[in-house]
Amino acid sequence: MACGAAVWTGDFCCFTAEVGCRTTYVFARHLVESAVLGDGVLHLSVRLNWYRSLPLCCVERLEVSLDGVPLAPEGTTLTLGAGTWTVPGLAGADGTWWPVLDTARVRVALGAVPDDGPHVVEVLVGTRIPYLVDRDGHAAVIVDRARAEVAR
Amino acid sequence: MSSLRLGVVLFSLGGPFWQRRLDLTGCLEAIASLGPDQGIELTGAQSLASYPAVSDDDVRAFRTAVDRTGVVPVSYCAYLERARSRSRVLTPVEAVGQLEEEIATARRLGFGMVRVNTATPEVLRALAPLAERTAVDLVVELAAEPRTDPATGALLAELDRLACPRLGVLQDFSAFVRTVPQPFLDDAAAGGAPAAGLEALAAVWSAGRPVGEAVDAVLCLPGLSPAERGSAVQTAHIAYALFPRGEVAGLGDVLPHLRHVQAKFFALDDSGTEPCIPYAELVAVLRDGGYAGRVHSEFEGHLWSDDLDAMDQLRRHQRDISRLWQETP
Repeated sequence: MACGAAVWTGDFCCFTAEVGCRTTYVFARHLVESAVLGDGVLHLSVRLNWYRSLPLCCVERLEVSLDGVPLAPEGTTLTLGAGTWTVPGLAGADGTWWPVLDTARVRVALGAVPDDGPHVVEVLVGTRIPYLVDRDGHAAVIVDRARAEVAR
Repeated sequence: MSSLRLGVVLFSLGGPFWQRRLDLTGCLEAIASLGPDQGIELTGAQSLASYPAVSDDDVRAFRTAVDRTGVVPVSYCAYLERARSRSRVLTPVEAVGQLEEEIATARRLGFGMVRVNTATPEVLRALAPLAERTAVDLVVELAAEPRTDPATGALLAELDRLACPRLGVLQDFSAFVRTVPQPFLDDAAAGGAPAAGLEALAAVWSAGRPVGEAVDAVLCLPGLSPAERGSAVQTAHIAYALFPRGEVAGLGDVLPHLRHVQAKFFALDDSGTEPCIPYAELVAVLRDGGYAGRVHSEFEGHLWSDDLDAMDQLRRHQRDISRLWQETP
């Protein structure tokens, strides 16, 4: 259901006009498929911000904030299929691929139980593109951002 | 005049595919609806769920869909992925080893040609024995043309020297952009880039001036916030990276090694023509030069817009190429 500049799915709202975008509007707009705020935990469903599958270790950045406050990366995990990784642990996930059509489940531990009412979640995904390497040997990192409102 | 054989790069349907509105079989059915003898070009990393260890089930499903729809597997897109690991970037030649698995997958799927996304002369020397040993045609994608890009000229010179019948090139028509595509600019505006900044960078790009001048033009604009300036500068850099201004005559230089064409386009105008790429001139070079390979439509506008109907764009694009091919020289 569309509501002005926002797209609602259940209790998830993506403000399309506010989505930041490094490469294409399309990936950023669909980056976060759902967001649920529980007691001390934020659950997100997140898509890969590229058009094809990539090794999971190509996810160089996964950052989440709640109401503008960055959430600690050591409290954030990403689950794909039967595997779960911490954000720092993604660097070593060479042998696992993120299939482009699969949704990752991201779980973020919160320091405190959020107040009732609406909250704003911001997600940043930065992905290294392994075949876009410059003359100095540096690979391009594509960064997409999405902002969502979650109700608690 | 040789006959024109058409096809589609499956990347063209990447929008509905990424959004799970079309699966691979659905993509093949849609392409088959464009007409008989449709060639297809597939990227394993995009289209195959079990990639990179492609399963027998995926291969069987693909081949069944090919048999049923009548599309023709023409080219499989492989990559030299030098930065798969975060800890070490491979040299280009070291990455050639990755192609063994890609070639094996291509053969299982029924493709006789494998596209390599980039190469150096040194890589070409490593590809020649690989192509001979695996009995596939390896074609290097050219995102530029030799008259404006010396590296492309060096590749063609090395192909001359190697004289390997299984090596060639694929020309992407995005090497010949004349105007920054409007969907790209619209997308940048939706992401926060200011209209004045986009106008300024597009004007400098169209004048053939370097990216530094486009950045300067943006930074000279009054009244922009730091975020707006940053967004416009970033858009300038992306535009210059994505849209090279190649010379049409360069396509003629490529012809002796040309095995395949990705006819890139962004959004057709009301007359059914891509306004940013000189298609009439490019198709004339192919036709009059005796090109006998396929021309595969590659729609890229889906990267920047959900509103463009990919199948409508592909249908009209093939119609336009066919019209241009039939025009009297």
